[in-house]
Amino acid sequence: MRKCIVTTKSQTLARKAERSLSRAGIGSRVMSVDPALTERGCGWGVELFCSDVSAAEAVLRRDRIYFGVTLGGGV
Amino acid sequence: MVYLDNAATTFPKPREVIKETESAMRELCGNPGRGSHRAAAAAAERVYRCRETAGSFFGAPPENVVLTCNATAALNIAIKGYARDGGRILISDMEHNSVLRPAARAAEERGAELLNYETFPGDDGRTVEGIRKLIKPGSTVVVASHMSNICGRILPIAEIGELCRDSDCVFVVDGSQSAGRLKIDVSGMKIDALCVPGHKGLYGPQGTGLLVLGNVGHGLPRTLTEGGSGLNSIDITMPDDPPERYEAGTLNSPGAAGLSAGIEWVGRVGIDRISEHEDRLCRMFRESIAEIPGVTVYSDEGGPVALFGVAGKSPAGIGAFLDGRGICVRSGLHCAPLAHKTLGTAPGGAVRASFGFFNTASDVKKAVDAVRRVAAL
Repeated sequence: MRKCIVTTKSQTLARKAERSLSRAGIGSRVMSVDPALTERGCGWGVELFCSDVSAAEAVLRRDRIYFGVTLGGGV
Repeated sequence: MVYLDNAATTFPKPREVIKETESAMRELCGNPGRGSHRAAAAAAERVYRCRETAGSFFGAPPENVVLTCNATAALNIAIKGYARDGGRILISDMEHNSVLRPAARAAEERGAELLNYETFPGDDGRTVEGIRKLIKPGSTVVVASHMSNICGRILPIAEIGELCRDSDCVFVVDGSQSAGRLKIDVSGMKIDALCVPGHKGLYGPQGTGLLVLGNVGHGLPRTLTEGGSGLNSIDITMPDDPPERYEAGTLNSPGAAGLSAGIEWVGRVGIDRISEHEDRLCRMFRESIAEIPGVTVYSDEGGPVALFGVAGKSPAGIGAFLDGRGICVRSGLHCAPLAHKTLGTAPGGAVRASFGFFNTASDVKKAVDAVRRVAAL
């Protein structure tokens, strides 16, 4: 199954997101994001199955954890 | 040895703190926040747990918990970071140099006014009213030490927070002596920046401290230190948001592990139980030495700190005599000349005995005996 990365503002928020998603039963892992894929250099996010992205975004919105773009499929 | 200098740093540390710090030294080989390989991730996870624990303890989300090397570093960020050009900085008449010096520097650099407000033990309303009269709405930073390091005086930070919120002022709290002894709720007390050491009442290792950011309705303080952050590396400025915004360079992850264990330990023992024990021992000591001819006890405001002198003897001499008998106290101005001036013990200072959770009644007895001996010389 393909993996996607939901980007966050920081590594700290990626960890907060991971916990939030875990409580909602969505598995994820904190990952660094290649500088080539961001505008500002090294970034962070949570890696999860692409099929879980919509649900994950809903959870993060509910828990007020800011997230950015989702980098998808084979990253 | 009878250790009575817990206001400087607590000793001993709980077993759990030593164990966690040591295991972090052995097991955490990665640099937290630099790379996502398993070694870095393990260290980052431990650091995050410290933020969670501290955030829960002080009423703030984990991302608002900034790791510093001590309370002084946190105070420098908060005071200098929030000071406005042409604004005003208000500090109490009981402040430690860790507040006074950065406030003086910030005032000089920003062309701001630095003013003292009087504190009135037993009359919080009068203290708050004094602050109200000095406030310049929208451009004032009010700093308050929650508890004095030389006499235990407690300031009404909830009331001051309320006043600051109503007056559009920034409120910075120095919790160096109160964290772990008195309840502090950053959100409920409307504190914009709480600065605490990890190594005093939180029973963590030296080299740790926290800047806990509150509502941040005033925006974030400016950064004091810039460097690598493991985030947004192309930007020439530090990241936009805490905590990474204020954490340039490698973090003290073993320290964070130990600090986390210390906060958890304090939570398990209970701050009420800790402060009741420390206050009771200090009261016993204070009352006993007050009866010794030639001894003056300078403050009777309660708390875990006893400040005293012996007629005809210098504070340094008393301290050295007690040290010779295995009693560790601190003599002099305790980095708080302003507070000593307010209490009337400047310029010579005094001797301070400060109690911790691991002190016993036997420690009190030995210390009292030693004071009796030096007074009799």
